[in-house]
Amino acid sequence: MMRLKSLVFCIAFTFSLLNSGDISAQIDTVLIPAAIHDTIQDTLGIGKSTKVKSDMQKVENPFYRVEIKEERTYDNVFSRIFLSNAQNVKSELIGLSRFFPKPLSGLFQNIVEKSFRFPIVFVFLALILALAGNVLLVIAILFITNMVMNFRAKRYRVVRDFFEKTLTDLMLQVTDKKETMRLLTKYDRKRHVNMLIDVMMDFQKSFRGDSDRQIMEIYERMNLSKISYNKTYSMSFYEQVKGLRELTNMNHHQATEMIMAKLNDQIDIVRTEAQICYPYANPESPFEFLSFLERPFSRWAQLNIYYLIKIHEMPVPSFDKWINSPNPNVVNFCILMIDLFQQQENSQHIINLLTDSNETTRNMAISTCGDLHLFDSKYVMKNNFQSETHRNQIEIIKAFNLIGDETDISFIATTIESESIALRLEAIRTLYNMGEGGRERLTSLNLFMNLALSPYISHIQDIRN
Amino acid sequence: MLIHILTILAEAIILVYAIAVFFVYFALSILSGKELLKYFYTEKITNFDAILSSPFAPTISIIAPAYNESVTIVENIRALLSLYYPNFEIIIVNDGSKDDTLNKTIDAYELEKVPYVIDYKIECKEIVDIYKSKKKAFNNLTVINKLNGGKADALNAGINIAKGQYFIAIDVDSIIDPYALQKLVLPFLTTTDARVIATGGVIRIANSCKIKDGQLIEINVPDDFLPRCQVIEYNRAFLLGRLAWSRLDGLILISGALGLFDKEIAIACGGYYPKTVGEDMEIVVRMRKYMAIRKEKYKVAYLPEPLCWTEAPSSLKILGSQRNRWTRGTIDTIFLHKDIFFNPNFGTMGMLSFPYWVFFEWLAPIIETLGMLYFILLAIFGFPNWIFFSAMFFFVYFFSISFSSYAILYDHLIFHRYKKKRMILKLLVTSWVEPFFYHPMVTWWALRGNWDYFVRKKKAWGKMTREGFSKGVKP
Repeated sequence: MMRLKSLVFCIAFTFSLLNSGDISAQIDTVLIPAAIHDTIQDTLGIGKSTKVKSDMQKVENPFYRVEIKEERTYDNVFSRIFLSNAQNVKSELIGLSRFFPKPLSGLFQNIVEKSFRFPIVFVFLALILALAGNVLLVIAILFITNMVMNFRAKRYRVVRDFFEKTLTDLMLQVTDKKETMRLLTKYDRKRHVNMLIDVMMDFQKSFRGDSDRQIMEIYERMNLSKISYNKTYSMSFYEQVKGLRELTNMNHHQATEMIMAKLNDQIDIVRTEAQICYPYANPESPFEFLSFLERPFSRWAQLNIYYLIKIHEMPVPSFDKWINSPNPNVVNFCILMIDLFQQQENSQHIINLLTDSNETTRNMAISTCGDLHLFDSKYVMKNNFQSETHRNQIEIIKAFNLIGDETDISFIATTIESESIALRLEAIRTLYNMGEGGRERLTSLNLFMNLALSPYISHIQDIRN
Repeated sequence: MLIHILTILAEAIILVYAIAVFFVYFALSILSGKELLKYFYTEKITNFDAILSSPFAPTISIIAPAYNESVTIVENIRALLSLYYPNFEIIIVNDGSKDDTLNKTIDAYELEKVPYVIDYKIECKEIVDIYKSKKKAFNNLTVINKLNGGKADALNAGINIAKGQYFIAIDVDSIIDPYALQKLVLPFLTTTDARVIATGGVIRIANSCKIKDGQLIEINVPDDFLPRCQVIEYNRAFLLGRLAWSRLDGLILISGALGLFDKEIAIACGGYYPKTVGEDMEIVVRMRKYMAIRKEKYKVAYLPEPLCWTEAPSSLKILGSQRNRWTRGTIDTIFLHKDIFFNPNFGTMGMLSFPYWVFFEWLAPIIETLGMLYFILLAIFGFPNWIFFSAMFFFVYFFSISFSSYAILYDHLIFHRYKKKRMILKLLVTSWVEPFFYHPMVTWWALRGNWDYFVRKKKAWGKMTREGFSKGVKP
């Protein structure tokens, strides 16, 4: 630890000398290990820019006691002010030891002496005080925020109930609009206003007709739409999303303008929200935004859009308009929607996609061919089978489970000899489900080809597998 | 002369190492704070209702290895069956249990043996039987009975049977948050610029919490000292460590208690490595390596939200065994993948997180112990500068409790799970005494882990006895 002290002190001492003002009164003797004595001399530039006398005295342990008397000061205003008073500060601090009990007084004086001798100790003391203060601050924050959070949770319930009651009274014509607005403006803090908008959005989702219009009117007249609009220009992604959502749900005329502006936003979350809001804000053409997408269209956005369409029973257009989009996410989305909404009129587009360069697109197209019973796709799938990936080969066999007939038995039978167990299982399942012809072929394969298909047949016969 | 130089060098190394530790932890805590705030706001605006009934929701296979879990297996499966997610299956892997785990499960869920052709995509010990339920309500439950092969082997068996696009590896005795699947799958659905290969969540300590029918009813701070220390430790690790590493794209560990993985990539990598006790870390490293070698853009995501509650060891013996195993698992992974170390081909993992694990996770207990022994020697020979030592000691102590306080604060501000004042006070006081009592024990167990790994060549898991959550339930 002594060596460590020395090394640390040397570093601190070097810095202090290089950067300090008048230090002649502060540091007069230092202990420097013999091993780095020469290095220290060079570093300090002794004999070059400063007149320094050194009195080398070899002591018992291999250290040198060096006396340094610096006569020249550096032009450093702050250090001159601070360090020229350092001796006074030291005297003052030592004087404070009289307030300590006798056993501690000596220790305190020792600490002060050592701290002024080794400035690094000051640094540690400062850091310790800072960290201790930090811990106390954290404790205070913890307890205060706990109280505030618990209080706010209760308050939130009270205020929310008040807003809900006031709006319900309006809808039931217990109060008029003027009175409602007067009551609602009682809570004008930012978080209460945001809560009010959330309540209005919930009401707007749940009610239709006159009630719906009344809510929107209150929203406009209280200038809440301006607050939502301003949120879309916030630096925070959270505020932007909230703003978009509020404008859209409250059917504000500026909603579409903001949505279009954010449709290809750099921030994923904002872009996703704009994509989700578009169909809601434009029910007459809910998917027109697919034509303007330049950035990826995430599965999360697709999932939310589908959810919106189902919840609000929105009319769904034919997806052939976007099925040839350069954006592969859009293409895959269109395939899925064609499948889900059974758009038979787009079958040729799906068949064309069986030869797409994107593996996932081909996989989805194969699956859709089976779901839509596109018998015309069989020829293409058979042709492509050998060159397809393993995953898509399994999908092709699954599709034949739905669209295959006796003419396809030979094709399916060849895949039973595959080394892939997954492929073999699907092929056996497909053959089994093809009726008598398929089962006869299975039996003959089992008996004459010695493929030991019985376990596979038992496997696929259990519908739980 | 040589001794002087060596001692100075040793002291310099210890000093530089200590400074590096402080700066690294400080940097990680800053990064974590920013990321936590971002997650907090993102989660507020995410509508999870959309996924509940969506055909877009990918199928997830929950794989839960079970070994001698007869005490809690029935209620654990019941809890899994009530998770809120549209498309999932549960695969319980009975890994050659010596008790009546399998029989209890068969009776409770009316299971029967089914004919099944197993596609051994990943090598594992023989799967003896597959069971499925006669009842339609448990259609998505599959139980595998196999020969004992360890947790990694059991997970591989589960992957072989799994039908889902993603699989989640859990500990069967853990309590999964009902919304966990929706949240874990979110990065897979929202990320468009890279392929997400794995996500993990925060594991919390369930000791002293009220649990009923496998569901968490009331959250409490553990009454016992050891689990309480583990609460602090987990908070630091999950909220101040892993979150930052995820932000830096350097996360190389997802807890074995809860992790969602891309099945295709896991199979392509060869699944879990059965000859290590740190299979959770090893598979993440291997999956990352696989993607890096193929130069495919990928991401390992992390959710700072508590999605899984587990029983922490409350006895010194069991805790020691666990920490010993974790150390051996870490060393195993480090040596199995030593080619990653400071290899720029592996990006942040190679240049930052892997070296971090080597220097600050594996070597830290060793360097710390050597430093302590060196100081003791100095003290015996009367050399130490006690003023300086005291200053350093208090600095280190206040730094460590400051760090722990921030972990408690982050958790409190974002998740607010421990609502009562006395709970917060309990955690704070524990964090103040933890450096004196708990930390030295953890260091000792880590040293034992090193000894067992390098000298005794120990590879086994050790004994893990569970008390079951029923004992932790408050009246």
